[in-house]
Amino acid sequence: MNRSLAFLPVVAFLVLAVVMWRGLYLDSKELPSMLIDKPMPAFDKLTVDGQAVDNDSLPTEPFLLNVWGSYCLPCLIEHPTFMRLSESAEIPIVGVNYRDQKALALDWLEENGNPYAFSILDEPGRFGIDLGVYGAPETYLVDSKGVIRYRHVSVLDETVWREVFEPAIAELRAQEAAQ
Amino acid sequence: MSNDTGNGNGWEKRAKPVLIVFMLLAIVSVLMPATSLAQVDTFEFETPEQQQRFRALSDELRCPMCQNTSLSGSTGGVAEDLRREVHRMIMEGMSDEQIEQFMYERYGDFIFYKPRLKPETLLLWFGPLLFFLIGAFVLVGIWRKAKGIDAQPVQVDTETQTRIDALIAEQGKAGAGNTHR
Amino acid sequence: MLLLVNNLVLVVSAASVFLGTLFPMVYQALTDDLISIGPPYFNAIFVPLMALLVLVLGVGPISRWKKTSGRYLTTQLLWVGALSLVLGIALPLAVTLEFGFGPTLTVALASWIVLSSIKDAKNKLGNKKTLMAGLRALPLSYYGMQLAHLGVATMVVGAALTSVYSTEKSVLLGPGERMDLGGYEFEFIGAKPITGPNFRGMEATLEVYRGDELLRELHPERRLYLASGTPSTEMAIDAGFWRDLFVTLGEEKGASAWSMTIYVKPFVRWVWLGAIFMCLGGIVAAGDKRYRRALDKQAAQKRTASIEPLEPAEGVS
Repeated sequence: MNRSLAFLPVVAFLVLAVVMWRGLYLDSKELPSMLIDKPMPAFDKLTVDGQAVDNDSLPTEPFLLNVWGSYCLPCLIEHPTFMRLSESAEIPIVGVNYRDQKALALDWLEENGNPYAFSILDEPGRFGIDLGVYGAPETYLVDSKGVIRYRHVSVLDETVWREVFEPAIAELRAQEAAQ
Repeated sequence: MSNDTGNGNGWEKRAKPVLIVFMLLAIVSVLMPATSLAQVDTFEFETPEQQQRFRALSDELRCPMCQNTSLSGSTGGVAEDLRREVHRMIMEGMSDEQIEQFMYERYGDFIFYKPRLKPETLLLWFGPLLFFLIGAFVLVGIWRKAKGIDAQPVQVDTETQTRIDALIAEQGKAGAGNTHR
Repeated sequence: MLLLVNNLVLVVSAASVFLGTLFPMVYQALTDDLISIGPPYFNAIFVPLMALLVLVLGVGPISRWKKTSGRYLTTQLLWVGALSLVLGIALPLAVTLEFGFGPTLTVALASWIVLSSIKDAKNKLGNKKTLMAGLRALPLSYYGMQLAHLGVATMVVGAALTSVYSTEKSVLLGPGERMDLGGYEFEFIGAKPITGPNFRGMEATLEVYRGDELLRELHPERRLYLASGTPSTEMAIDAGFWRDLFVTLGEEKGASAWSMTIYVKPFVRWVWLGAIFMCLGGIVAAGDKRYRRALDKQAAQKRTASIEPLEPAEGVS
């Protein structure tokens, strides 16, 4: 066996070390959404206020779909951002009250403010499954035709808004204006 | 029994405590009670096959929000909902493939503990076979070498060859039937 | 030569586990998508490899170290193989009255190990005057090997049969209600509150019957640890050589009825027993004199080196 073969384990180890090192930074708990560029799932449900809504009730311009719950602390943390967006009418926001209790949800909205055009009541979480939700909070960017364009998992704070959503929405609006 | 030096140079002294500790550990680990956080769902099924399918599916589907648990082992919210969905779909008569497709459309490949066979996972599924074939190939190579199958005949020049032939001819005359091989 | 096959199988097994472990990371790096690899994959790869290993395990001890002809092996092991197959088919059929490919393969492989060990022992003991002389002549390493191989057979039976024959059922039981599972009957008696040094909880009592005979009581608990507020379940376990019974408590629903899951797991202790045998086999084998000869030789050399050479007596050259 010639000398060069003896270096094979060392080379293999180095390659492996590089792969693993990269792996450290790759490891995201975040699942990519399967619904990107697919239409919103069909729904026919009540809102937390008791109104009947379905896909036709959705805004006809790009909007945010925010999955939230009164039990969810990160939702409370991102709430001021949504309140600001709603008060400045920057972009419509539709809520999905996920795996919550109606009474608790209404109390939460009363206490903290309601930025949502309406909040779909999803106590058993069935609509969440159709969306591929795996935990609140999650926020989707949906275009005017009801096609999901982007999903953000976890808190949507001002930084995320500025760096991710604002440019994405601007681009989306530009695309749609051009059509 | 000629080399027996008696006390084995302290081997038993070192081994005995290790052996005792090991035995204790083995016994204790077998006796310890198990704590778990498993959720108990009480789903009703019409036939035992349905229940078996439910068990198989909830073992093979991964909980999307947990660290690394199947649907059956998880207490998380989504896992509960997904188990309920699997139960609903089984009762509605959907096949395993349809249920898996349902899950795939919403959660992607991540939700399968058994990776689906597609071009990207060919190496994964056939890798072990490939390893085996490479190893077997190496083994056969070693075997052939040990048997001398591929051994090259020794090259000699013509003068040496003539002398060898002469010697063999002599041997043949001297001891007919006196072959070693 | 044949003995290298087991090296091949073990290396391929290790390489496959390695592949399965690293693949998701590489996949994510290359496709930006997530993939999961879990028990179904590892079982699909590992089980056939282990079956192959078990087959070689039976052949190994009987082979002579350097050269063994195929014909020699066949004559030695033909009956062992045939008998293993018969046992594989007959035993599960006799006990469960059903034919299953998994149990048959498992029992056949385990029989293969045990029977080939017996055959090999017969060979080695055959040419001694008495059985005792033969047994004493065998080195410790041989006993260790046999014990370890027995451990493999035990573990194979335990792991495979428990995965085939285990049953579980989740039910809601009120006081006095019974449930049948795996040939046992479980009657829920009731639940009562309990307190521990750092927890509060509920303890349920179940009576386990086989036919009309009361075997024992099981006491699963549901606890709430006060410091952290973490709920947890204490599983009730009835450990047995042939099977384990488990009960985990769920929640109280309605009028003192509780949801619970009951498990009957045959042969599961054999997994641990097999592992213990394998460890013991290794320890016994390590006690073999051949491993001490090198140490003894070193020690002897040290002793002679430290002895002062004697002055030769007058007249002795």
